[in-house]
Amino acid sequence: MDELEGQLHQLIKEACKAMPGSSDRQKKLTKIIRLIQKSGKIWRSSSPYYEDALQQTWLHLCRNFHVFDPERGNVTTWLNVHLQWRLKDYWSIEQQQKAWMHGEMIDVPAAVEPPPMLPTVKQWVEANDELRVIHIHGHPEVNCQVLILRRLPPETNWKTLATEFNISVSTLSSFYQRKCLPLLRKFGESQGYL
Amino acid sequence: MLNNTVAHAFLLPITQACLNTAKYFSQQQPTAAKAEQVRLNTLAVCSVNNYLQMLGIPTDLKASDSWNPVLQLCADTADLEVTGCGRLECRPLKMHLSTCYVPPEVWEDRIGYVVVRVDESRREANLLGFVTHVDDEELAISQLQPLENLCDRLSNHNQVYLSEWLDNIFTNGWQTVEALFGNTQTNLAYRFRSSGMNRGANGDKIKRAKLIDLGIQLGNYSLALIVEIQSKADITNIHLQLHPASELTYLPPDVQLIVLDESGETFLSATSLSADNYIQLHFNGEAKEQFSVRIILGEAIITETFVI
Repeated sequence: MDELEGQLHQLIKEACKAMPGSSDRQKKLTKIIRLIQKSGKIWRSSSPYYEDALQQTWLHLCRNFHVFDPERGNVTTWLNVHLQWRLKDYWSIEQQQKAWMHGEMIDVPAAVEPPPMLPTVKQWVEANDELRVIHIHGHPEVNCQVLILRRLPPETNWKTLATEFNISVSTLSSFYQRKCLPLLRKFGESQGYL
Repeated sequence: MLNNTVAHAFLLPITQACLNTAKYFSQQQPTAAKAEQVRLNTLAVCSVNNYLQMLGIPTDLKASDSWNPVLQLCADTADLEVTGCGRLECRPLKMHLSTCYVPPEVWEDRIGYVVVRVDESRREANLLGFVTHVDDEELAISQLQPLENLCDRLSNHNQVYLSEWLDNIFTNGWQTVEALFGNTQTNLAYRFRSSGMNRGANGDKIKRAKLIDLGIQLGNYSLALIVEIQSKADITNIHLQLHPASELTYLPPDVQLIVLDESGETFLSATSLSADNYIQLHFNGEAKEQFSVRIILGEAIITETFVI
């Protein structure tokens, strides 16, 4: 057994001992994967589905390391076999879809374009006088309505706003985060965007 | 510094699913600059989400601002809601940069910041590291702690401070029994009727419940852990009950409810029989004492840690 496999077997043993869901186990898993990545022993391919298959393989490792049997081979071989099976899955799904499209020649409807967000939000902010009432202490001119409009794209950067209002960036952004963003979240909900 | 960064590196593939989501979100933006920002933010959030999924840490993308079209438009946000913990900011970093831009609108209300180097040509996301606080627009890569510290941060976040309950602060999914069960389990409400209201004054009983998900091994079977505390001077009485959370009347047999002390030794335990409605344990503790409650059913084990 080579050095890498020896280290991996040891780490897997330690991860098995750590409690499920514990940060100890999570840290061991992070180390195991980092070690495998550094070794360069994971198979590569130029398939468009390679990344998805690889992610499935890491998930497989994290969910099944406790049943890995070191008697039956290397960790990296075990993962490479899984990776190739996942690639085959993606490939056969693609073939099925191609065959289906070819046979039926169905008009695939274009995805529905969502309504343009910027004019909708802008209109709501401009029409909502309540947003003018909520302002930075002692600065009625720096209110939610003004700030949101200035931060809509193309947005004015925070430093420019800080100079213009003579208020620090952190005070401005903190107000924006605590007062303006919750109102925007609510608006988003009311519009059914979520 | 570079070597350090490489040692901490954690590479994740950028999947087709991530690319599609990033493309969809960016297409809704009104300017090219905004579209680019949203696309990179989405790739960073997706990558960290994939990492947490690998570690079995639950997240809620739909509750994140980065997934909300209005917030995408109005803020430069790349947050990921970690269930029961809070928002984790996932900042994208373009190749060849050694400082990461952290916009002022995400300096608050975050449990931490992960920096993700996005290499689109190789379809790789590199999780470079983590910090807990940011108060400047420039975050140097050399300041980052290894990802392992993120695991600690998220797990300590799950510790429940019972003293906070006295101040009416309830985190990590602890809710009133009524909220958890709705009105369907009137018999359960009956059993606890003697406990009074959930007020925090000295000597009053405070009771909260949490859903315990034992995972797919058991067909998503859920249990509810109920914790009731009563403080009297320096001593706190603690009363634990474990109930079935689904429509079922009985607990499955052989569910174990165990209390572990600070050193991890078993201090008390109870096991369900074939027709138990619930199992329970009582004990006393002193301020600042730590204990864990472990629930075991078959191969599924869940542990909750408390500080009195």
